[in-house]
Amino acid sequence: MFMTDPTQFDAVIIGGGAAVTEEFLPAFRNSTASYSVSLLKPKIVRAMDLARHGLELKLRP
Amino acid sequence: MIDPSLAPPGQHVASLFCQYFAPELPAVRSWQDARAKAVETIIDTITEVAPNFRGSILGQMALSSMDLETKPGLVGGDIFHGQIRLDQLFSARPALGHGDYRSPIAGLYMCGSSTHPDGGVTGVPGHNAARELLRDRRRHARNNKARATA
Repeated sequence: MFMTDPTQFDAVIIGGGAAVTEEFLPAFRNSTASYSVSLLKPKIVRAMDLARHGLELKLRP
Repeated sequence: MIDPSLAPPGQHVASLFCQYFAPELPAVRSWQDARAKAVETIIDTITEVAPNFRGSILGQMALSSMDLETKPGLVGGDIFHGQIRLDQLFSARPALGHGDYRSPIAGLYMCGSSTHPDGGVTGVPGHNAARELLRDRRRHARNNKARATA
C-alpha cells in the first residue's frame, strides 16, 4: 500500500513547528522559536520555488 | 530595521536566545514559577551593558524549555530534538536502524531536526526524506508493473 497524497499532521493550531512567525503582542511579530534561516539550502529554495510561495530573504546590510 | 512588518514604525523587536538553563528543575520548582525570575535576570544582565534596555520594553514574551515542549513540541525544550553528538549523527540519528527517514510505520516518513543532518533550519532533513519517499514510490510502481505483467 502506498498512498500518493501526502498528509501533514500538526499537534498545534499554527503549522510550521518551531519555525513559525507569531504575533506575540498586538502589531509585533517575530520568529518565536527559530533564530536562524542562514543555513537554508539555496538548492531547496529553488527546487521548491519558495519565492512563488512568498519566501523573501532580507539580508542584513 | 530590516523588516518593517515586524513592529510598528519607530518600535523594534529584540529577540534573545539565552543559554544555558536546566530543562528540569529540582522537584519543588517548575518553569511555570521560575520563568518570570529568569526573565528578570536576563533583562538585568543586558541592562548592565545597555542601560536603557529595561526602560524601553513595551511588552515581552518568554518561552522557557517547558513552554517550548508544550507548544512547538520540543521535548525538554531541545531545539535539536536530541543532542548533536557523534553517536547521534548520520545513520544513528534519531537512532541506529532508523536513520533512513522511514519510520517503523510503512508510508510514514520522518524529517526535521531529529533526523540527519540535524537542526539549523537547513531544509536538508525534509529534502532527504522526500528523496527516500520518491525512491519508495518508484520501487512500488516497478513492483506493481512486474506483478501486472507476471
